[in-house]
Amino acid sequence: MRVLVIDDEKNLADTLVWILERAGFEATSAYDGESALQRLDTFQPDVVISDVIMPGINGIEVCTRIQARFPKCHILLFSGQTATNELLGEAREHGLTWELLAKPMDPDELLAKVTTLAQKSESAGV
Amino acid sequence: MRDQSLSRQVTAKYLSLLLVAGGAAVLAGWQFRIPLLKGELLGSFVSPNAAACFSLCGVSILLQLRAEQKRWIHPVALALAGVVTLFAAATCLEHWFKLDFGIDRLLMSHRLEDWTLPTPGRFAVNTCVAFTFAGLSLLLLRRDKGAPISEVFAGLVLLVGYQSLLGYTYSAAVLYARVMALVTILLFLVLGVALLCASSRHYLGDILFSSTAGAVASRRMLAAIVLLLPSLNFIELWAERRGYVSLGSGTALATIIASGVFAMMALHTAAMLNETDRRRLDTERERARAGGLLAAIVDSSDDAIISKNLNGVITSWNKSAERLFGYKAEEAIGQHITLIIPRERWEEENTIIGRLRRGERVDHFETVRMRKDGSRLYLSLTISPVRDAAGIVIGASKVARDITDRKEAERAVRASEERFRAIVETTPECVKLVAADGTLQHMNSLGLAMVEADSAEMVVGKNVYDLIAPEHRERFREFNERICGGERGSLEFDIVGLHGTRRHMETHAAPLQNADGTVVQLAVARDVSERRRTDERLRKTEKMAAAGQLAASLAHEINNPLSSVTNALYLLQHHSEMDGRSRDLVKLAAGELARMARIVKQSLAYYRPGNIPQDVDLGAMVEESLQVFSGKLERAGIRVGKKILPGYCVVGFSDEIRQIIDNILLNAVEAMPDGGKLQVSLRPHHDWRQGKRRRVRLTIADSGSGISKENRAKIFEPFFTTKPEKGTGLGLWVVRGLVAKHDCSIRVRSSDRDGSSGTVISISWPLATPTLARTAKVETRMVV
Repeated sequence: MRVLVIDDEKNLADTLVWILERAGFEATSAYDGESALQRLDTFQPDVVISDVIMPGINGIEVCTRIQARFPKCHILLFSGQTATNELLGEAREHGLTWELLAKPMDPDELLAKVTTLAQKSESAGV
Repeated sequence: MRDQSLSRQVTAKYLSLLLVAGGAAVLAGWQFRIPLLKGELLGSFVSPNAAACFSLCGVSILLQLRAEQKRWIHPVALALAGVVTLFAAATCLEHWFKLDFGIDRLLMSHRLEDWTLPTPGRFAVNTCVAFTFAGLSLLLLRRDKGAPISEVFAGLVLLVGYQSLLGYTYSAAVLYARVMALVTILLFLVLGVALLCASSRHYLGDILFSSTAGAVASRRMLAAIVLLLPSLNFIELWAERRGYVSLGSGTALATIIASGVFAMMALHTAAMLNETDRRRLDTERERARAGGLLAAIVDSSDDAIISKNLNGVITSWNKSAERLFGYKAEEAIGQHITLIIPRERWEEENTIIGRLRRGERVDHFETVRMRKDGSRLYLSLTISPVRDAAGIVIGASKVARDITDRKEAERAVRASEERFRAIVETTPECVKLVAADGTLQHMNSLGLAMVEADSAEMVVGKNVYDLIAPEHRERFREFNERICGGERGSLEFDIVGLHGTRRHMETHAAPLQNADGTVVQLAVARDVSERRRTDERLRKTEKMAAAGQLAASLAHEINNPLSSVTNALYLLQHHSEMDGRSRDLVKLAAGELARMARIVKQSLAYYRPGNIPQDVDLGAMVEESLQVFSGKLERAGIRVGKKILPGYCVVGFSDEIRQIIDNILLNAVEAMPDGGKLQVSLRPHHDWRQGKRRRVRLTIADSGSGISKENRAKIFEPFFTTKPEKGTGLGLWVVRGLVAKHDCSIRVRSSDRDGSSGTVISISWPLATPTLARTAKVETRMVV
């Protein structure tokens, strides 16, 4: 089970990766949209956890591209910014329904969500 | 004239009484043989018959003077006169035809031996003729038509008496028929004068007794003729008889004296008549001139001067009347006064005539009269009675002044006053006049309503400063003095009504000069309490929005490091190489961090613009929240009672609505750490203040510790909490903000009394409608 964490906040992304690794997931981090997309050649994620507002390509666009490439990949967005709602509204219009988590996330809750998504992927036979 | 007539009647009365008394005395003299009483003089005496006739004549005159008093008097008086006339006439017949009717001895027949004359009891020829005249005069005395004849007969009585007197004077017995007594003659003179005086018309009386020149002259002439001539002749006769003068020279001398006296008298009379004539002419000329002057004055007067008689017929009409009423004098004179009185005011004329008849004057009577062309004019009338020489009211003079202009001006002033009053009264603001010392001189009805006065008397005339809020009083007083000093200005201040209501006023004032020169403040003030409240709310909202925005951006910045620290602590917590104490410290740090996260989250929730509101099923939302809280409720031992009617949708943001419900539920749960009862209900209601709009009310009641009195006012303030260990102090603050955003009203009732403590929070929501109002009421009501 591979999890890709994308956030321009390096500390946040790293600690999250460690928490996921500690829980038994194969996790890696990217600090912006560009590098995340580049990482896809070597790392095919089952779950992507991405910040929405980032310098460069924003989270929603990154996730849209990832899902285009890996349609079975699960997306978890997290943000607390008001602009998120508007971006999400646009995504919904394109038929994309992603879950939005508010920062800061309780690590236990996050792990529970990721575990749930992982189980979905497995039952789907990936 | 009247007085003279009265004095003559009084004279007649006394002379008549004299006659009655004289007659009675003579009869008494016969009865008791007293020669003096019988009138015995120069060998003759008054006969009893004559005495009786004098008495009857006297009584008849007395009665006729009082004829008006009783109906029977006049016939009795006439009967007495008739008796005298018949008796005297019969005696005349006896004399001339040598008859004897026996009437001579009807009286005093037992004293016939005292009678020295051939026919005892009978009166002399002169006497019976005189009594016949006297009787006839008496019969005609009070008849209007017979009065002149009555006076002629009275004159004849005097003439017979005078002739008989001359007989005695010249010792010519034939003149007094030998036997007519001297006393009888005197009584006849008295009778004649009494008859003249008693006459009702006084033809002779006027000639003889009036004050006119003719009467004066005739009185003198008659006196000269009656007294001078006989005296002169008596002296002449006496001198001739004694032989002092010869017949020729005596007569010549008497004639010369008489002629001289009469010539002098004639000249004197002529001079007197001339003088009288001249005076009369002068007076007439004077009067004519005065009349002309008066007429000129009347004609040149600006006032119309009209005279009329008591029948209302116009008798004079001056130039101004012509100008004022449009009728020429010749058109108006002879017409009835109603010519110029409008029909609806004819009754006025009767009232005026009534007052004039009573001799009253009508002063400055303001009324309406009519011109020839039918147009009306306002007049001020002064009407005075006009009296004749006898003082009897015979008409009226009327001075009419045209006050149409004045009336029109008055009406214009009144109309203008009414117009301004209407403007002031309908001005939807408080209009007032305040004197420099603060006395309220005027206030319109809206102003009275603002100061909560039921009538003007409650405030007008009193000091207006008392109505100003104490903290603004001094400022208002200075303002008023400045305005009364001639400045214009505006001021905002608070007033406190008579019932204690406070209003915030904005006034614009200008100085106004009164007629007496004093300057007062004319002010138009508006109640701006509502505007100020709105302003304040807007300002607060703006402040809150700014605060929200700041909080939101801060939250965003904090969220990232917060997430990192949360993660780091999580990793640390699960690190195996930690001793117990370190693990506890990390746990504490994680708890505090979680609290920090909550604060940030709620600050963020407050400011979340954008997004389109949606229909939210409130009942379902409440059920969902209760489901989420079920674990907590169970652990705390709280029983839940639900009365949630399904199907009520409100418009809003579901996460915000959820936050409202959750925050209130959380407070309720935290208020009951040792268990209790939670009652949640949702039911529809009407808002009567907003046109029966249908609303739904969510009520969440707990049996917890309640909110203390001093805390009740603060519960909606940000960062106010009674639970410092776990509360953020933002829960109800956020609720209030969200409630306002959703056009809801929130009501909090709470009691912290032991045994009945608890808090009830109810929120009224508008049911789903297309639009969402931006402002909302936050109503906080406490019930202890």
